Amino acid sequence: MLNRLLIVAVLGCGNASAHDAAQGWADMAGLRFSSARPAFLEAVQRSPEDSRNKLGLALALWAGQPTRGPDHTRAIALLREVAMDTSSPELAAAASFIHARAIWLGGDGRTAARMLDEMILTLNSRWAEEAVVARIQLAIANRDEAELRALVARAPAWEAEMKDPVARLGLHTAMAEIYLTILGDKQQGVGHLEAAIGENASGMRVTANLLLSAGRLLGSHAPERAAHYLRRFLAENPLDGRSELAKSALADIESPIEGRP
Amino acid sequence: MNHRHGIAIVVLASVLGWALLHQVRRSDDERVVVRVAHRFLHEGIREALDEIARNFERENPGVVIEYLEVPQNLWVSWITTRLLGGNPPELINSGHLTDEQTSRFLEPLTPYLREPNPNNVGTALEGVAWRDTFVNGLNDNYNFHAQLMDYYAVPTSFNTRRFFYNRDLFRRVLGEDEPPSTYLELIEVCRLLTADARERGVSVAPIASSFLHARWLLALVHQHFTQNLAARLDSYQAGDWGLLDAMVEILRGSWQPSAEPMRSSWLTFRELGGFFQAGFLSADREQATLLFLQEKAGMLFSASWDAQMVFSGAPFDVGVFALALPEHDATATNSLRPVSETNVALGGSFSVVRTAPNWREGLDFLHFLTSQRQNQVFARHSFRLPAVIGVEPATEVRSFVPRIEGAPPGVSFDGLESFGGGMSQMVIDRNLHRLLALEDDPEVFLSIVARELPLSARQDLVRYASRLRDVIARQEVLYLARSVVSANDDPALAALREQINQQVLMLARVEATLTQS
Repeated sequence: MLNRLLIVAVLGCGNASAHDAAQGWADMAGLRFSSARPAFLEAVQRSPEDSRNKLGLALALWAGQPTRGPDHTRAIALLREVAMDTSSPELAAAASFIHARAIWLGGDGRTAARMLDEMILTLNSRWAEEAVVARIQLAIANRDEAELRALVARAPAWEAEMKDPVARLGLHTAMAEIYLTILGDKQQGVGHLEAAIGENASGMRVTANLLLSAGRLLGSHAPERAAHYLRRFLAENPLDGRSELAKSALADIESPIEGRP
Repeated sequence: MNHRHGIAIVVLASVLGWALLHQVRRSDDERVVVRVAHRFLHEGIREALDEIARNFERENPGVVIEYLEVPQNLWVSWITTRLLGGNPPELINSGHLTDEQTSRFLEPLTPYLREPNPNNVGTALEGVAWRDTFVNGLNDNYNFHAQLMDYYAVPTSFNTRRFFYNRDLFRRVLGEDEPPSTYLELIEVCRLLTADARERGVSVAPIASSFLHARWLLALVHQHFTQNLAARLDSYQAGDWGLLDAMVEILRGSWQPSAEPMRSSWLTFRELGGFFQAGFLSADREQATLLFLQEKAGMLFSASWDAQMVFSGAPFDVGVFALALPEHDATATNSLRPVSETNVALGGSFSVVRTAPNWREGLDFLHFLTSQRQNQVFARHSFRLPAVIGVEPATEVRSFVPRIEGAPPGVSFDGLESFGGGMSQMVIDRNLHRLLALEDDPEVFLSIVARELPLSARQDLVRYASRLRDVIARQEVLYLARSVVSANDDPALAALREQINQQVLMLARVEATLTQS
């Protein structure tokens, strides 16, 4: 929705501001931030009330100074303005998310947490769903066990509501991190790895890691599932350097050690 | 004009002068010229590239391949001048470009890598996606641009690390030229070579080394001794526990860089270092190689990238063997296996410059260069290990073929010099002489490492987190921009979001560690 709005605005208008903005977005899509900046400055100068141009300029400025500096400050101010634009909720949601991320990366985790908490009151956009993931990630950074346990308790409800598979994947990998590395609950951790596998990640390396982790962590506790993940890892990643590791884990499962019940 | 400006002008003039001297010659017979700029100044690779170029020209009579050889120390200035000056070559060696230069000047190769390499017709790789014709399926971070989420380079070869040894010397001193197959045999060989040199009153060290060679050897020793440690600390058991994890866990106190198994690792390196030539810490790479070639050392621990030079330059019979390390640490409770070498990074890569006039023909040549038949030519002459499946390495470098079986590697400190601010590498470099001076008590070094490495790890992690924040911010911008430009139709978007979430998790892990320790 956001993208359609932007594309319509950028490509459909045919005016100079739209041309500058289109160039700016294209530059940013190619990591040419120094070129994007003047394009958006021009676009904002021509159409100062256009939230789409303001978002573009905010992003170009933020990319140049991600954590501090005058451009960072100006980017934050622009993001705040766009986030409050009630006329385009999707645009506002995207700006809110980036605003919270920028505040976190700028070093103010507490304010970022409050902003994300507000965003996730209603999971009405994919940006709100991503805010759930970001909120859990922020709690991992804080490593406050009470906060983590509170979020863990809310996770099933969020998961049930989330529609975007990429956000759900992010949720499960963050939950696996909490259980495996902080709370030390291997069973719950592997459960989230398996749920993450079910979301069919796009990145080959992500899927390969999930399959190998789940297969090796399950091991003899759930040999059939473990073998399934390990076989799938080997079938989908025949050239992965960790094939021997997977084969060895599979062999351990398939030929039980003498004396094992 | 101050001194700094003067130097800058001289450097600029040298670069421009050099660039002018190497201006592209247009083909007199109207053939399309594909210019290939590279830093491979080794004889074997030159021969390989020349033969491949002639093969290509025979099959493509309308195209001529022209190589531009650029010395390593001029590369960055030269390539920047050519890219910005609007006169770039069609193909360039990969690396050393900024993200913005990569995006602006290089052709993304991901779509081509999904299709078969047309030059593999008639081979076992016919019909196989170009990407899957490489021995690791390009499943490494060298050729893939993690920020732009595209491949911008295609490799030709890779390297492993081994000992070169002087077979003539071995035969004379040991009565046979079989290489040592265990660590104890290696130490015994070193002792016999030392005794022989002393008896003859000549200066022949058992092992030629340099600061850099020593660092490579130390990396393998650490990898070996920490294999069980890494397996124990890897909460995910995904077999890719790396340097970042190691630094985080040092700070968390999960492992100590001076306690077992690292203690055994440092002491093993000290024992090996006792057989290096005197003053090796101030020697550079070339000096160590020369020492070996001049028969002033019995062995050289290096990598396959030196094979061509060693085999062609040595006036003696050269052999190659893999480093064997102890099967237990000092506690004798942790059994250790040889470490697997399957996680190779493919290099010797080339990129296509899309602002060059004949880049499509350049892409054709890159397909040709990395086809099974031509990679065989490359491997035969260059003595590099071939990147393409089914290609046989040159007979001389068969011993460099990576070990498939074995334990996943532990902590290697490989790449520590560029991790964070490089402070941890500095701690090791600054104090290594204390470990290696046999008259010194190694406990002094171990206590320094125990005290200083956790502090430097913190400094490096602070720097690492700072860079990661910048990367995440730019990835977020890239994600939104690519969503907009593609109307959400970019196939890489989901993978990009997944990658951002992985990076944020990594940052969260580092931030938590820094806060709590």
